[in-house]
Amino acid sequence: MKVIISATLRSFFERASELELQGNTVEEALKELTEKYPEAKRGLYDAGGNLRGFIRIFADDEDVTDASRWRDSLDGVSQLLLLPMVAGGAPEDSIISEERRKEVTLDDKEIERFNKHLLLREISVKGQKRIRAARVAVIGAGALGSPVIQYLAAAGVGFIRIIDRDEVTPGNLQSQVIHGFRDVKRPKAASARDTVRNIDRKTEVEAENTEVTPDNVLSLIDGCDLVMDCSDNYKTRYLINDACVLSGIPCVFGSIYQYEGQVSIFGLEGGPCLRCLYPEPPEPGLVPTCAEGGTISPLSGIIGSIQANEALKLIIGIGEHLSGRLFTMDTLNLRSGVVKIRKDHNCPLCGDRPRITEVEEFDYEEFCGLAETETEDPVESLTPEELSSRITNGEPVTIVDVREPHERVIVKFPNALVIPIGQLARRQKELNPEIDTVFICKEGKRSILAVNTLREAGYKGPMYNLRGGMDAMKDFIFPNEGGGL
Amino acid sequence: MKNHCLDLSYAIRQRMLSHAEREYPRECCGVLYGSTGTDGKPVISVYESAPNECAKDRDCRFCLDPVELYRSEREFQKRGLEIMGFFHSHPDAPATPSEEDERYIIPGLLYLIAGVEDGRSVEIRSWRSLSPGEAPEEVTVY
Repeated sequence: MKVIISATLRSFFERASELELQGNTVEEALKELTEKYPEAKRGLYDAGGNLRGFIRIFADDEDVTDASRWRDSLDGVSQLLLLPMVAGGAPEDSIISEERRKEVTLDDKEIERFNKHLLLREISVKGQKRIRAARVAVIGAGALGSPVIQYLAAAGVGFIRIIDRDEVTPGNLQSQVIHGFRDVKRPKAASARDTVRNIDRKTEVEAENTEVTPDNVLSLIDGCDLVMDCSDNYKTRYLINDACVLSGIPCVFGSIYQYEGQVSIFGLEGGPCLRCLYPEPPEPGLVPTCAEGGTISPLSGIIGSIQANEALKLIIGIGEHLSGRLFTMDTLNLRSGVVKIRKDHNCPLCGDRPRITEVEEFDYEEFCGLAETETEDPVESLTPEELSSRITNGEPVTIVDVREPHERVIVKFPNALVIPIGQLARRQKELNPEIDTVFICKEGKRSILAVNTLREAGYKGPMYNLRGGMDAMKDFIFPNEGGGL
Repeated sequence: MKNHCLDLSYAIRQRMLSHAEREYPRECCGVLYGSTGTDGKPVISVYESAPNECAKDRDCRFCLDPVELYRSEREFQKRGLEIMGFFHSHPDAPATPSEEDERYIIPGLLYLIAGVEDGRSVEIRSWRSLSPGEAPEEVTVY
């Protein structure tokens, strides 16, 4: 049997180019070769005894590299060729390692189920296995969490941990499409888990009915490849961002407000983080939360779907993603754009000299202005019961409604003076400093800002905040005023 | 093969880079033929582009048909030239060997990689593994 060796492999065989061997199978030929050239053993086989990837064996024009062919008779074959396999490729940027991808197998049902992914050249079987291998934590099973969780489950993500402390309310159903009316009063995490189970039984899903705190955040994201920030408040966003950067887990950030939304990726391989983009949250009360400011129903579907799409791209390792860039969209005028985010080298978290090294040691309450500071006088509050009895008893009290006009249309407060926060300082003369003034808004947060604003402007009269706002007051509002807009 | 540098002529470098740009966003590949100089340094005389035979995933991998390569190798042998190494491009990725590259790297041969960004070649670097299973070292390209 004549064996011909490509010049590229001759260094293993003392530069021999052609040999005559006795063997009549590939196995025998290889055995003879390594006996003749003991040095060649290291060249041909890896530490596990497998033929190295760069070697191909051809019997004439037929590829017989696979070990299953090694005992086939080589009768009628004129020459055995030892050729190089020249191959390689650009690095793939998947956040899922090759080892974990290889552990996954897809059965016939999954091949049918994920057919439309397998048809895409960039995804194919390899990408689908990465999706199956992926472990994702979704923080928030509300408006953004609804599309994120459902699309990740439908795409075949292998493990999803859903974290949310709240229960489903009727008001959630306008945008939180993962829950139905039967889920009202159930924990959102459990309701979302059940939806996932209904999508794909093979997706492992954990429901954590808990608030994310500096004490539990690290364990909640532990073992995950990716975190989806679908939260609705600054404190949680900064906490998630910090925990992700410190744990080396990338985070897909999303936020919505009225008609507008934003998406970005933080903490991906040295990319910028939330603190590089927004070093500090806005003053509490200045920007209403979703619950207070409202959102148009499909907005969370659009923004959450983009978050899920970014997550899948990171998992598969394809396309251009939003690390170092911020996607913004205004659905009212249908405008969207992408702006660059620079990494801040002075960032206290991911900069050159980080000052935040543990989430437990950082005061998120104070950072987000939620803690009652000692220097500032706390704002005195009235409960809905107290305000109600004062009105009923005819005690003199000025009520100032600081809500926007469209909010007042929903529920009016009878006989209230209407002054938007922006006009308070210059219209303070309309208030009588001799009698108590009570400020009301929707949730009792903007009204605190109103009290502080007037105090700063020099107003000396007694001021109170209606605790819990109109939401807490709704059971006391005079029934003849409510019902039917 | 102890010399960690490689002289690459301007003409050959340009041929490789323009091939990489032409194929963007797909990966390109080709073979470097030449000889070993009297000082032991590799001398590259010809860049022969080759079709990328990977049917799938051409954006992130390349491979050459081993039998075609052998035929080409024999043709060049008649002209006294041998395979000194291979060239391929990394579209939108750095010119450093990927995990996949390292798995297939043949010891002793040069692996030149071009990093192509947005259709423009930005760098060309050369790598060589000295023995089987060993991580490739950079060979400076002049």
